[in-house]
Amino acid sequence: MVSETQIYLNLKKYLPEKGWILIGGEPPNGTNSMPRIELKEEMHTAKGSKGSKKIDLLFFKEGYFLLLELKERYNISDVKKLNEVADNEKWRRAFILALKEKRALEMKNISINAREYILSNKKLIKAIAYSKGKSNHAEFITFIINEGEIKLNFGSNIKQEIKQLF
Amino acid sequence: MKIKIYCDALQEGEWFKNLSPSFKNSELLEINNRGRNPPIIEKLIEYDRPDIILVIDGEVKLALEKTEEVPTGHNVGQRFARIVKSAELRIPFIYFCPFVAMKHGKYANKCFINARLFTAIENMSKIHNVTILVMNWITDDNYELIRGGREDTELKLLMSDLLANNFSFKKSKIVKNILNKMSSEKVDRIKMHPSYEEPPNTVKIINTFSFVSDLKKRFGDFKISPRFMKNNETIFYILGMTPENCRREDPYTGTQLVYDYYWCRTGAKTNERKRNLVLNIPMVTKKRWLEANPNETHKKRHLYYSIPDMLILKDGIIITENLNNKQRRLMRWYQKLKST
Repeated sequence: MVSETQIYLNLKKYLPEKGWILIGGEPPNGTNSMPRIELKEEMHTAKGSKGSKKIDLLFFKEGYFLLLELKERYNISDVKKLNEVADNEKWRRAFILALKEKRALEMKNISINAREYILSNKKLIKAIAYSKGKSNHAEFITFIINEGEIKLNFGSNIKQEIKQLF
Repeated sequence: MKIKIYCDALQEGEWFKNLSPSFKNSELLEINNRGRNPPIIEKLIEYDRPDIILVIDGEVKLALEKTEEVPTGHNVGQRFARIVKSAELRIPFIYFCPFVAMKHGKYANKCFINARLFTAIENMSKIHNVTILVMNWITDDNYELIRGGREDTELKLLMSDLLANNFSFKKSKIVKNILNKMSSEKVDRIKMHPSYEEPPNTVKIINTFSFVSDLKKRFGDFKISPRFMKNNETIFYILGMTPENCRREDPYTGTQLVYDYYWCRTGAKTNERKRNLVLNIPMVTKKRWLEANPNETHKKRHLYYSIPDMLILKDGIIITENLNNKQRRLMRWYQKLKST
């Protein structure tokens, strides 16, 4: 089994090799040179990060965002979190706002029609990555990471046009 | 040259490795939990863990902390204890953080470094005769952090210069330049907020004699060292912890050290002070405090007992000198018992 930090480092290297642009995220511990993508509810009044949702890794390619949650062992909470973010207009709005706040797309010279991403989740790809466990989620891409090996599983509802991005 | 880079998180180690081509073949090692590292690393993480420890041919050349948080508010003291330990061991330290950056959220605004940090660091640097650098993580015109490598330019130059100078910080022109930048940043911040030269609202400078008299009226007579009474003034730092949230280390264990080096310390040891250092936790009882924060040597909370002279709680006081003497006596007794 590899650690969450190893999973993080592996994907940070692997996905750009496939043409994905790293937009932001947060390492399991410590600092890294990229914007933290922290989604806050519109009426967010809690102090600090309480009640917010942070995306572990976020990539962009050909109009698609890849939202990735990482764990050493598969955990259903990651699936629930990404479903909540992608399937709920309120959280999609918070996602776009987080990107704007940090100028995360501007820094990579990417421009999008924000409204399109708020109104629909079609271009948000949900993905989880882990080293140990088993999962089967129709709308998710799963990365199974082990020493020197990255295995990709596409959920049954993942369209061909998305599959070819990897 | 055998180079080892110890890191708190692997991505930080990899980042550091990229600061110089000379580090290319270095060994990258994660800092383990306390008790599971080589002695030189153990000593350095006694108070807290820095992000990077650079070891060349078995000798620690520097420690480094990298953060995207501007040292302001609670962030000023949060990372300070790890700088202090490094200074005590006379190991140069680099604190890489933004001097100004945009704070996001409901009250979004640009946020500047707290000038008190520079003064505390200057004093600490003089006391321990060691170089401590605060280097600016640069931002763009919108005060967003520069990312992707350009922010590391000065650090790369510094590494190359230090490698060429066998890590003699005193000989490095780049070090001199960074120290100048720190001084001018401090001046600018104080110009903007003259209050930075005064203690914050949570800190009072009080008269030691009246303070001790008041305490004795409140809690009865107690033994206090002549050293404590010799200092006319005492730094009285108020910690707003409640009984529910008092099992807490950050930022207080580090912040007390900022105030110690700013207003109290005259020498390398905690008994070398021109002012006493007292922590006041008025909402928490002694029983609750000791239950939530026992003096565990492997945890940062041991700094509550090894740094200040005294803790004042809702219903009692803890004089750390007495406590530490008692502990030392117990330790001697235990060792004697073990040997017989």
